[in-house]
Amino acid sequence: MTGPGPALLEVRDLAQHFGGLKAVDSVNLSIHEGEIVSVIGPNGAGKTTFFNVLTGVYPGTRGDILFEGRPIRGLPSHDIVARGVARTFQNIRLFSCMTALENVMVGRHSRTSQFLLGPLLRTRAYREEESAVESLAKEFLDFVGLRALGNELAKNLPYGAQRKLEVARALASEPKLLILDEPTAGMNQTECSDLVALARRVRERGVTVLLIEHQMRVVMDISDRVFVFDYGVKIAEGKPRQVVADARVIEAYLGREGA
Amino acid sequence: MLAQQILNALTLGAIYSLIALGYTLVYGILAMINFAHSEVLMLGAFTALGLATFAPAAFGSGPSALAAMFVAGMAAAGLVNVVVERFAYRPLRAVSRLAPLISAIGVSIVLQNGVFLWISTQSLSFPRPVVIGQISLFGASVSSLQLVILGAALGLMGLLHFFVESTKMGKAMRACADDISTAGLMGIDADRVIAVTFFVGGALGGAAGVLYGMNYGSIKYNLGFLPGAKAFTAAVLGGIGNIRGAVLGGFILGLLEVLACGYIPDGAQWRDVIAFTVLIVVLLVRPSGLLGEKMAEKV
Repeated sequence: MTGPGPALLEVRDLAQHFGGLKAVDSVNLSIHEGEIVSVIGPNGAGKTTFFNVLTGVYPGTRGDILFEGRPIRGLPSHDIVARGVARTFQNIRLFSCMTALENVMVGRHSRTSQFLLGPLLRTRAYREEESAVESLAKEFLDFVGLRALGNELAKNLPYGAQRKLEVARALASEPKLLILDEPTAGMNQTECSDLVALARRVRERGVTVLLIEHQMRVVMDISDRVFVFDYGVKIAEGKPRQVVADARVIEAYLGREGA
Repeated sequence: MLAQQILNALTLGAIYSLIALGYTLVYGILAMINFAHSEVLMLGAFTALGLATFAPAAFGSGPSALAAMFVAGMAAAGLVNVVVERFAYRPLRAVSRLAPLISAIGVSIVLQNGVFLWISTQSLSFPRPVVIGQISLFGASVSSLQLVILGAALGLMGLLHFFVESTKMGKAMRACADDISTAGLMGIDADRVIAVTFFVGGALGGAAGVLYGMNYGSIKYNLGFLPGAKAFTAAVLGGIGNIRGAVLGGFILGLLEVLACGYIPDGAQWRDVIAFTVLIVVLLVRPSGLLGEKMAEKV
């Protein structure tokens, strides 16, 4: 149950109900600093809903989310980002009519201060900050291997590059926890191993990684621990090898007969 | 003759464009038509007049007076727009698409009648702090007032371009226009961006109100209605939500009206008919406007 560091994220009795549908119900879990943790489960298990509650898209119906010991459930999304949680999306959601570089610069929004008067008066502080943001954004593009594509519109990038750009944009907010929603969806084998390597390098920067992943090879390869969701409930957790051997997990995936 | 017409068209078009920008900025982010925008520009003009009337000492004369009128008109219009958004639109934003629209119509009526009842039911003369002289240019006679209108409008459009393209807040506005919920998940406070958008759009409208007052020499409680309706048309013509489209649409509409006046017998009476007929034809061919992109079906 315990990981390598103190708990970064602690979820207690978390629920998100939509009318009678219990999309997420009574989830308890904790994630420690420096871990790479995967959430797996059949379609409709409530994984993305769980991520959406963590990031403030849904308010949650019940329970607590503690990030670095402070409650964040129900806060507006931008506040949660400011506290150090960033994410990517299952269906890529880049700002399609902006360049790759601008996308990353937008990701930096919560970490810069200049607001209205600075830009209008072109103060020195503002100009310095703006150029600092740009060079930092270029570093993040470099980090994910997209430096050469900075001036391309996001919508014109190849699919794999778009996925990486989402990671760069999320990293630009300097998160402590990076949440990746199916980062390898639709990717071929080379792109997959690229992304696994990227996630490891993200962790080396000191960022904790939480991801939803369907490709078991990736899950087994990358995860320190795995949580298994089914029907909105966490049914198992542990090291990847333990979890795939768990009878409840096999039943969730294959049905009772399969077990 | 043609040079003169084009010059007149540019002056008229510049005012339409400034107003159209206010509609298009708000629509770009909220997909909502701010029907109170025409009253916002009217209040900008009245604020500038109030300054000239009640603080003539601070007001001065010449270029400083001109600058003071713009600053006052733009600041007041921007603030009114922000307050209207905060109390009349924001609480309804999550309810339905229609509710803020109805609220906007209500705000429009309240503001217009407020000025009608408390300030004046009549036309008030509007100061022109520039000496009106005529300059000859390419065979056209240009008044210094026209130069002020064109210069101010183009200058403000240049500022807006810089703001939207190059500043952090401008990027945040574009991000919100692209996908407002993702923008929130990337750390942008969408409510704040929306407030700034209303301020900027309102301030441009306020500037247009001041220019309108100077152009016609008098203002009235209902001055916003017709230019507001036409600027909205211009925004749709150019492709609503598209900044360049709003500017293009404003100038095209100005050109259509002026050419109708100049080249068609009794054209002055027909100019609105002609302008709006062209609009209908354009929209039949290009429903999303001249520069508008086809709305992508969102999944």
